Amino acid sequence: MSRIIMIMLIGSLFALGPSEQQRYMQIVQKYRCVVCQGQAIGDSSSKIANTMKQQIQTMLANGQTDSEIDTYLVDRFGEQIRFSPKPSLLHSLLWVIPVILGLLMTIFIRRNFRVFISHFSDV
Amino acid sequence: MFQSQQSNRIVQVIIIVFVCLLFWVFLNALITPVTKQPSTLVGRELYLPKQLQIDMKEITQSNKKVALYFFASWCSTCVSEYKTLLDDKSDTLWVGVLYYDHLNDAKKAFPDLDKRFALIFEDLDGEFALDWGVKGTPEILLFKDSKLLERSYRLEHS
Repeated sequence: MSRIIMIMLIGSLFALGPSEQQRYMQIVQKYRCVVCQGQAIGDSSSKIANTMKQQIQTMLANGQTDSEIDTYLVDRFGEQIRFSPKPSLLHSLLWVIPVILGLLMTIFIRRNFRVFISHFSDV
Repeated sequence: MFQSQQSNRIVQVIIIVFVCLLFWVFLNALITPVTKQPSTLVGRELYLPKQLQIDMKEITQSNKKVALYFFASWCSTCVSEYKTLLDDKSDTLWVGVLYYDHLNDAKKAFPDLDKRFALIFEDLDGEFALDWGVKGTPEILLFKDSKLLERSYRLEHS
């Protein structure tokens, strides 16, 4: 069964034009297979990944844009299906907070270096 | 005196750093939607594959809740929880969707399929399940007034 699906997938890929084929190759690397561990749908041969690939090909053949395909997948499987989540303020906070913490710690230690040294030397 | 002030200051700093780290971990948990199910499909109108040629009014007319139950004979969890499904006394209308599975195989694994389900059909290519955002089996989509109300992964929780 899975072999038949694979043959159908490869066959239908040739039905797409060169630019669609290139877009298809890029799209299937952008999304993760929902039942695999960190694998892109393009690299997975699971049944659901094959169905997703088939769906993406159909959407490309129907002239749908990359953002429409993205919306289709994210609506159904959530934000976690994307390998690169869309940048947001909350996500940027994750990167900024440790840097701010590190800077504050450095400033604090530099200001109170002598106090720290005396404390630890006493201990 | 001075020694205790120093110690207090160090303890304060450690507490502040700890609280900041805790906040950061909380933020991480808030942002990473590992198990969060997308809610965008909630409220979506119930439909069945066109090839079944079923009048949707027949299913939605009764004003009962409709449950789309995605299951398969190769799914051990589905087999083990099937007894719970048979014991269900609610007036929910169950529609079985065989996820990448054949009806003949399902009939061997699940007794009394026809009694339990008002309708049962095969989704061999998984297209119907994909369109409803189904990741695996078992999965239940519950509809009220033919609009998607919620989804569940185990019968015990639904």
